[in-house]
Amino acid sequence: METLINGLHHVTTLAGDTQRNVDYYTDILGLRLVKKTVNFDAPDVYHLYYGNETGSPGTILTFFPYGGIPRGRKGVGQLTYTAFSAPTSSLRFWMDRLHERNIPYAGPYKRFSETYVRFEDFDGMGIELVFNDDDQRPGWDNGRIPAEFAVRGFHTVTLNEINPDKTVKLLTEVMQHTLVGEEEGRFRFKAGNGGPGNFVDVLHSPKDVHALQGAGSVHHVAFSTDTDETQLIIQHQLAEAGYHVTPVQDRNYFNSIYFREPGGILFEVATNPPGFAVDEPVAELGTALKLPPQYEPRRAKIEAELPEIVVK
Amino acid sequence: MIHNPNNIRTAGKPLEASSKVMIMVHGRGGSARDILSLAEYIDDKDFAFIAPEAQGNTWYPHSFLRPLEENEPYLSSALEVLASLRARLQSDFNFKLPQIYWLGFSQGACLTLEFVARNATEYGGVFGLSGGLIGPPNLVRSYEGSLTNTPIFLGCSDIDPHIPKERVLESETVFRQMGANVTAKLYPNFPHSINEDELNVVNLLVAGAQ
Repeated sequence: METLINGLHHVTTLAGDTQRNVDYYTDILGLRLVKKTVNFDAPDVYHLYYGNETGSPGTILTFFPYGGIPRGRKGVGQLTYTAFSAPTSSLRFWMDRLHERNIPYAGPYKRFSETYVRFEDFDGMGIELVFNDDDQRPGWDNGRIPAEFAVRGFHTVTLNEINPDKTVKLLTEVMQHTLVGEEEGRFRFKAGNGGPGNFVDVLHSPKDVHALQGAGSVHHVAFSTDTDETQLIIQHQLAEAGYHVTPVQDRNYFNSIYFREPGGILFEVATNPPGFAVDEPVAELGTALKLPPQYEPRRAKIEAELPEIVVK
Repeated sequence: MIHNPNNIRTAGKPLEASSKVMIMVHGRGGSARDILSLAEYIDDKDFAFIAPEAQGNTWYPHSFLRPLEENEPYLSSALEVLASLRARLQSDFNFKLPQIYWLGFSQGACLTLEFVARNATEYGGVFGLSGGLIGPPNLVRSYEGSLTNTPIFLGCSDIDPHIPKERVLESETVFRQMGANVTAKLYPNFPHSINEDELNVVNLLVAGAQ
């Protein structure tokens, strides 16, 4: 069987204040701002992409910062925690760092025999750091966090579901995931060969309230596919399975299709190419405001209306 | 998220001081300001009015009769705006669901009716002016929840170029099956606009629901 889904591609979240968002993810978590662009469907709002040095699929966390929107609420029908992978040896470094920055964290805990800590960004976005030695991806040395301690990219996303059966069916029967573990109502699935960045946890949460969209809540999760051709195959298979999947949409750095999984979470399947170096060299990623061609004629107005961003 | 959930305008009584709120949803090419101008035709002066504004004045790009996926991810984003607005009215201003009223025109009516069907509960009232439930013909509609005690009014021209009267009647049937008290009126040879009789019905239903 052809590999259509590789694992995680990106996670997109709504945020409040733009500069605080930049500070949190570049300074505190040590990710690289790899692309500064606008929401292609609403160019008065930034779309900020953070990731490793090149913004590899499986490392990319993106935000729409909407200014003062009200906070969301965690609950069912939502991706509640996005876990990043970090080396086992960095546990003490990260606990000290969070403590120094007055960021409350919970843990360290154990899950599937790995140690993790859990915390939230200033909007309430749920983050975990999972400490392991399985991750061969390079860390990015941004001058603040030594590469040996830096996060490697995603580890797992956690989907809270009232009734996980249909979501599990989607993951295993259409999206090529396999069950690799079960622990206290948490079902872990891997895509491909598994490993950090390729895990999805479905958490059976029958007593949770329904999630509300707002600042700090994940808007969608994207899975990676290799090419435009594999994307069309998975699009066809999703449609055959009864999902309302969208036509392919050009997002400049990847092509996307969207659909809602049975529990209500918005899923995307995004192509790996062309990637973030398509319109600026790797050394300069994230430095200039990049606009899709249709907005170039309006650049002056768009730039004037967007808040200024400083990567400290 | 495509539509900015912060992009809202208000009219009428302040939200903090009113016992009823009407969410007004503009049509394609319209604006929050336009739809709020209808507030002056609502006789009950105890209302706060709140209107979200669509990105680029459009909630979704294609006709509401097209397959749902062709209007994604815009349609989902638009529905999320209404969900977050409702949540805000409940949590920040302490409105109970029967104190919340919905009024939409044209594309805004379609969006409002679809939201209400997907989030069925007891509302103060739902007014869909020149609109109907969203989706292609013959879509199997399996909405959960009950609209018992919710008055719903559907008003439309019988020759509306955008809204087939069959869809208005189908919506009437769906809402009735969900327990709503539905009034549907098809106005012979009317243009795609809001007429005086529709506003009278809205006022009567608002008054009757007190």
